[in-house]
Amino acid sequence: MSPSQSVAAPPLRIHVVTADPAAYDRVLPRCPQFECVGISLPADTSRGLQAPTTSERLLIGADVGPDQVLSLLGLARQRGLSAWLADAAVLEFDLLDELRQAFAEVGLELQAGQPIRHRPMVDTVRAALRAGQLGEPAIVRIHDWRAAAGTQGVPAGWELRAIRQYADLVCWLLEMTPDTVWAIRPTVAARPGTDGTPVETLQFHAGGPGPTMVLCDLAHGLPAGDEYWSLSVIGSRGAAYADDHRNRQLLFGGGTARAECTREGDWPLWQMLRSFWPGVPGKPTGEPIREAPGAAALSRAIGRSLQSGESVSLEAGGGR
Amino acid sequence: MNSLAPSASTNRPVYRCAVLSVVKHAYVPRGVAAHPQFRLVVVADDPDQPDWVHQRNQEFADEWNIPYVCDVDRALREYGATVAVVSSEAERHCGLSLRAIEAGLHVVQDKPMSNRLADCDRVVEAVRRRGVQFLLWNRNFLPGLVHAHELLARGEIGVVQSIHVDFYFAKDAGPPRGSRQPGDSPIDWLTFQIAAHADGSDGAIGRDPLGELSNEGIYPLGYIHLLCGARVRQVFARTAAHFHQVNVDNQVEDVATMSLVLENGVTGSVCVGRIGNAAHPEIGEIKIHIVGTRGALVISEARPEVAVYYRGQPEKEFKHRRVAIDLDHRLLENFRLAIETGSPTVLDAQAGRDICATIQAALKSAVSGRVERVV
Repeated sequence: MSPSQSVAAPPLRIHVVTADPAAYDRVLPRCPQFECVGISLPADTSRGLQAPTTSERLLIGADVGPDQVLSLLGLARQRGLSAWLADAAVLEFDLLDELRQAFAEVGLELQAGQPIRHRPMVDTVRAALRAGQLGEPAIVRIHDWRAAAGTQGVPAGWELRAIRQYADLVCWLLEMTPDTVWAIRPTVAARPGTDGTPVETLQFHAGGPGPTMVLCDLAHGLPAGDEYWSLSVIGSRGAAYADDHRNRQLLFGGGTARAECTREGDWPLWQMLRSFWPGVPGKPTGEPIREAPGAAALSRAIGRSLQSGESVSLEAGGGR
Repeated sequence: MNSLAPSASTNRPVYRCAVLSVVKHAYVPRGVAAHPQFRLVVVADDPDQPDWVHQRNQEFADEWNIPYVCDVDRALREYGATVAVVSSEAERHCGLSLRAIEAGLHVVQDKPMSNRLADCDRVVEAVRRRGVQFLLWNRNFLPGLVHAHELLARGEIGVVQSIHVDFYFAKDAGPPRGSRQPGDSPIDWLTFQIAAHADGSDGAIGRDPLGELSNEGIYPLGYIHLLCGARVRQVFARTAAHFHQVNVDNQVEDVATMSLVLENGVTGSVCVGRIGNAAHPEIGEIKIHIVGTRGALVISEARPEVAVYYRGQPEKEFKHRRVAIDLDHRLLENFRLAIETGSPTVLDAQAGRDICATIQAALKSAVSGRVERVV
């Protein structure tokens, strides 16, 4: 489809479910391919969709929890709506495949995205890789440290979701599936009475076939406030470093200066929305996940390694 | 966590130092001599060493206007030395250190401690039996490390849960991987390293090819030792000869990753590699990430630094210049304090031995694909 054709195509009518309607209010006007017929909070959506709707697609934001996602997908299928799921990692990949099949059986479509793919820092690293500027990757190093929201502590299920997100990111960046992985958690006790709900952390270390090695460090439950993210790729011809540490500005307000991170704003959300529109002019920064057998196998192997304490070979069936 | 507390000296004995072989990092004996209480008095080596070794030893002796003696045992007996400074090829480190220890000298030894764990064990045993001090050269007193140590000591992030260290040197090492043409001979390790002396990048010099993990792994593992104060219990590693033909030809890694479980339950990881000039505008990304029970830290080892750019700047000149590096003095102050009070050095023989054991287990894991226990 040419750019002129894509612009001329009638906009798709979508209904958005999100806990952050303001972000979509800002970004949707930049997407002439979509006509937003409604934005609702997750808790309100089921009731809203019972009424007749003119929408053709239900877009479920990345901030909607897994239970609500399942309920919403069931409702969408029942109402004859195709669905876009902003974060595929909210569900097990196998379950996602089953749901995709269930949608297809009734002539509908279920597509899933991966928010991390749409981050401009990731996109830039991937573009350098694809252009051959970095050569053959040797090390992919990831840190993702998340902050607890208020007093709610670490959300249940964060670990599995993060594993799926990064298993997908690794396979997508490298265009291959590692063949071995070891995953570990620390067993350090918090100091009683001083540490409250401690930070939870895990790491996985994957590699092969070939020289590529992956180290991914995930943490949740930092004190409420800023989070930290870093991706570096060391290749045979060069390296790329996408690191919040480099993007800090200083704020002096007395005492120790604060390091404020200049964020990516609405760009990732805009790119995510663009990715769902196949005829968008220019190459979308990320495609929806059609299928992710490599990421599914890797995330299962990570889970098995965490359980067994041993390294797991995907080739030997550890990813099944 | 180990102590980094400096101390003021009240009495000031001068320690006479014998330099036992100085074939690679002259910065080690130079760093020792920079402290006012340590004085280089002799350079010594064994007479059966090859000419290039004698030549380097002689040049250093001439530079410092001290004798070069081709008899290690005589030098240890006759020059009143109480400290030996060892900067030979890695495979000779422990042998020279052992001879000094048996003669009752304290030892400052270049890294790595050894490429053979049994040699490290002998040094640990001898240090204990002879009651001397041993300092393995390290970077634990760089300003970024001192800062990280202070923040942890203040409890700013609670109890350390995990620690991750990137330690890359953005340097080339001869022709890139894949550059050997049909009919070309493999690159001889020792010949290559001898030639690399001109630009100071001969840290892995020796008859035994030494991969990057074996050669540089001591630095990130030294940081982990400093900041976590615990031995590594388990390791999983991957290695590759990915960048340089000399590493391919000699079947030693130029890049490696390790995941670690420490005896105190802390988890960790290390990336280490000689990743080529093109991979970073400075010496390389050297960073420490630490997650604690109440917060987290990201520390750049390079800070503080000053950026200097000018017309005609040589391509390989570092444009960001590290400043306030008081590493040599602080290491030697730590060593002096250990000699005078019996306190452990910041990286003593046991810690050096444990680091060697971790690296040996990592190299084994890289072959087996399994998690290996560190002995």
